[in-house]
This record gives sequence, structure tokens and C-alpha cells, in this order.
Amino acid sequence: MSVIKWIDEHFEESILIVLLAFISSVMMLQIFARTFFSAFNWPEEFARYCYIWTVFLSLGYTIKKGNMLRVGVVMDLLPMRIRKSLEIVGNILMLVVFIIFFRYSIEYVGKLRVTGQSSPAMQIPMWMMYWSTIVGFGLATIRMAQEIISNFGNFNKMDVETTLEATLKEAKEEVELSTHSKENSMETSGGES
Amino acid sequence: MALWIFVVFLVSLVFAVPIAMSMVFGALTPLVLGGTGSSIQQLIANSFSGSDTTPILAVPLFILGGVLMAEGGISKRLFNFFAYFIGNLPGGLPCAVILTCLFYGAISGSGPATTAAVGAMTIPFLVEMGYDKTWSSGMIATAGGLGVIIPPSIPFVLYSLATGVSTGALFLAGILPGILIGGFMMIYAVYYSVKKGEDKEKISKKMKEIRGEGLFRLFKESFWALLSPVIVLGGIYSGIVTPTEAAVISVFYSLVVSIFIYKSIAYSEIIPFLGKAVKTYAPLTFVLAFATAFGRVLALAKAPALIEGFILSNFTSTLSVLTGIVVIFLILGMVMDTGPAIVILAPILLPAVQSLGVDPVHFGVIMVCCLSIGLATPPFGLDLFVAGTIADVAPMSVARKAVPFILAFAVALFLITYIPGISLAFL
Repeated sequence: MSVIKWIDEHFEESILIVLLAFISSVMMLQIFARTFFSAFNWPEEFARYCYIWTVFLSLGYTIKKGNMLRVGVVMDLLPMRIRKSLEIVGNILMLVVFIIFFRYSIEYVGKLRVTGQSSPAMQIPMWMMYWSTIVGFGLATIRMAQEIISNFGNFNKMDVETTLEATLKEAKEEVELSTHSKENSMETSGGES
Repeated sequence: MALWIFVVFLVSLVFAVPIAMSMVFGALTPLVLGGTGSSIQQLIANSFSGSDTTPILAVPLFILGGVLMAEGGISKRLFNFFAYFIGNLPGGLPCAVILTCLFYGAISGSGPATTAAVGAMTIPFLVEMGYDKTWSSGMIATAGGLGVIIPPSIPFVLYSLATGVSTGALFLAGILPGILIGGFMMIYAVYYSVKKGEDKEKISKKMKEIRGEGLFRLFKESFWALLSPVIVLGGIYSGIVTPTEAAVISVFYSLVVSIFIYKSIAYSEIIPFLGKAVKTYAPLTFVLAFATAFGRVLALAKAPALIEGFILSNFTSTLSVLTGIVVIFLILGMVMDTGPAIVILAPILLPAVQSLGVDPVHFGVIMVCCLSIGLATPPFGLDLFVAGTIADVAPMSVARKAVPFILAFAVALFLITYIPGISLAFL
């Protein structure tokens, strides 16, 4: 049970972290190789493909975290129930779009398999890279469905954050993070002197 | 058709549909209404190919470098370094805080993070030295957002991705405007400090403490942090590395400095830091991807040409066009994040202003300057809330004290907009 919960919370996030570690180290390797030996032909392509997976996995991740960038000012002015209803309408429209895109990505990957196109440097079949769109839109569909279910579950709660409250929360997080690091540095500088 | 695309896009935005999805809704409009547009497969393929470039990797990498470097009390080291030189002058300490914000912002690349890190350390300090708490918060909230103008800067990377203008040229062009805006804010800070009077005794006592540490030690402590932008910019301009490679180097440089020199990060903390970087850039990645697909649809509907025609037939002088655009950007900066605003608007507006003879690099500087001040403008400027939370003051009182600083910024912005030479001096 706890495994499922962990996956629900951190699935996209953990892959995104691994991808970021890959992008950084492979690009660094390339700089070393270029400076001291000669450049490889694969690192940039590899890093780009890691980034493409990042793009499509970020969809599900940000829906889950609720930190998609949006303009919330006008909605704040509306009464709670209207806001919540509009949010559900918007989410359902997005769900429909994700399902459609999911379906078309499958079709597109099928087409690419037929053409048999490969990437220039690593010779990886392109359809494998386009799997990122299938996985990405698939996960986005699941996350959005989860979101809509919780929308309905919380419909009668008065818990909707205004942009102001969300900004305040974000501000508090930033402050906590920076004070944490300040304590850290004071410990170390204390050790030096 | 272009009109319908805009209507759907704007209505979605107003109803708080995420920006990325508003673009998708806009891009689907021609399909639904039966006009010329991209098929869904083309939309997917364009989102894919829009992400399939090496320069775009600079975005996550610069963000990670900033997250790593910004930890570990670097704000304090920078502040002591600047205070050493100017702390004893009239208004010297507030000016040292503004300088710290500008440099820290250049390193971290994030306005709210800058306000938080610099504010947490300097607001209590300024209050102890007898400066007004709310005023200090207003100053830091405004200065915190401006670090993104001084390179390395994510908004410039985004503008470069959206328009194809060289990242290196934009970075170079940001230096003088950043200094100018900081300079105007410092002039006001000095004026205010002199008018209100400063507690000279306390300040000179504190300054003795800071000077007692010796210039060499202060320099040594802040050296590694100050070196980071130098390495990045030096690497790019000497032609040794591309902006993307410079971003990679900044990641590993920050990692080495914070683990081995400042000892501010333990090995076990590396993964949480990667997680923090992911959290920051994930919402941007697919905005960038869908913006490519949306841009193609707009181009098929001839939207940039229509806007160009509209602007050219209604405004006669470059000045009036730029003024109008600056006002729009300032308003937009209050409600929308800098990144999406740039990737959506830059490709649409650039052709029009270019045909009026505005340099694309200069336009990028104007755009980034305008949007970055949005972080400090009420009602939703995040920096106001960050500074307010630190100082335990209502964000709206912070906003009131920030007004003169925002005006100082506006004067500088006016000069930057109408004198292209300020941006283009080094090019």
C-alpha cells in the first residue's frame, strides 16, 4: 500500500531528478572530452532526449503538484461556487485534450515505426523518443482524472486558495528555505573561526 | 481566424486555465472551426521538435546552478564585501544591500529567492542599524526582482529561444541597464537616508567590526561567488563555450564550491537540490514546448503580420509604439510570470518593432526589464510577500514603501527604452 502511495506522490518527480542528473553529467563529460581529447558525437543528442522526456513528464508532475503557471487574478473575484464549477469545467476540457493527444501520439508513434527513421548520432529509432509523448499525455490524463475526482470530493469545502494566499504560501516557503541555508552556513563559518 | 485563436487563448487565460493549456486550446481553434491550422499530429510533432534543441538545455542547467550556488550564506559574504567599501558613506549600507540583491540575483536567477535570501539576512541588520523596517523591506522587494536583468539570466535565455537572437549578445546588453536601474535606486536610497538621518555611531561601530575582518578575508570569502558570473560570461564571450555549456560549467562550479569550499551542501543534500531545481523549471518546460506549436499555428493564421499591420497603421513613431508596449508589459508583469509572457509575446511583437527599426537585442532588454519589475508591483508581486513575510509587515505596507523605488526604476526604464545605446554599448 505504501509503495503505491510513494509512486503516486513521487513517480514523475524521481524520474525528472534522474533525467536532470543525466543531462548535467553527460554535458559536462562532453566538455571534458572536447577539451582534453576529442568530442563525442552522442552526448548532446542524449541530453536533448533526456530533456524531451522531461518536457512531457513535467505535465503530470505539475498537475500533481498543482504548480502549473496560470493567471488567477480574475477568478479570485468570483464567488467560491462559481470558481469551483469553472475550475471543474476547465479541468474536464483539459482531460479531454489530454485523452485526444494521448490517442494521436500512439498513432504517430505507429507511423514513425513504419518509416523506421533513426536519430542522427545515436541511431536510436525515433519512435522510441516519441514514446515520451504517449507516456507524458497518458500520465497527464491519469493525473487530471485524479484532480477532477478530488475537485468533486472537495466541492463543498471552503478551501480554495486565492492567488494572494498561494503567493503568500510560496513566499513563506522561499523564506524557510533561505533561513535553513543560513543556519547551515553559520555552523560552518563558526567552525572555521 | 487569428482573431478567434486569440479570443480562445485569452478567455482560457482569464478563467485561470494554465497558460500552457490555454495555448493548446488556442492552437486547436482552427481545427474546431475548420480553418487553416496544424493537425493534432503536427501539434505533437511541433511540441516535440520545439524541445529538441541544445540551447534549450541552458534553462534547466542555469536554474540548477542558481539553486546550488544560492545556498550557503553567499548573500552574507557578498553583503560584507560591498559594505566594506561603501558602508561608511551616507546611505552606504542600504546601497550595499541593493548591490547584494543585484549580484545575488545574477547568481540565483530568481527574484523571490533573492528577496528571501538577502532579506532574511539584511532586514534584521538594517533595522538594528536604525533604518525603518518597512522601508528596508520595500527596497529589498524591488531590488530582488532586478537581478534577472544582470546576466546570466533565464529570461534572456527564453527570449533568445523564442526569437533566435544571440544569448551572448543579450547577456552583454543586460549589464549596463541593470547597473543603471540599480544606480537610480541607490540615488533614492541615499536621498532617503540623508533626509531621515542615520545612526552614524552604530553604523561606524558595525563597520569597524566588518573592516576588522580585513579586506583579504572578505575578498577570499566572496571571491568564489563573485567569480561564478565571471566564468559564465567570460566563457561565452571568449568563444570557448556556448551558453548551454556555460550553464553546465556553472552547475559543476557551484557544486564544487558549495561542497568543498563553502561546505554549505552535504552529499546527501544533492538530490533535494535537484528536486528543487525540477520544481522550478518543470512548469516552464511544456510552456516552451507548446509555445512552439502555438507559434506555428499563429504564423499559419498570419497573426504576426496582422499585428504588424495594426501597429504600423495606427502608430506613426517608434516612440509611441515602444511606450504602448512598455505599458502593456508592465501591466502583464503584475499578473503573469515573466517566462511565459516572453515566449508568447516576443515572437509576435518582434517583427512589428523590427520593421520600425528597433534592434531585437534592445527590445529583449526592454521586455525583460518591464516584466521583472512585476515581481515588486502590487497586488500580486511575489517579492512584496516574501519581504513582508520576513519582516513581519503587511505586504501592502511594503508596497507603499516600494513605490519610490519603483519610480526610480521607471525613470531608468524610460532612459533604457528611448536610448538604445545603453543596451547596445558593448555590442
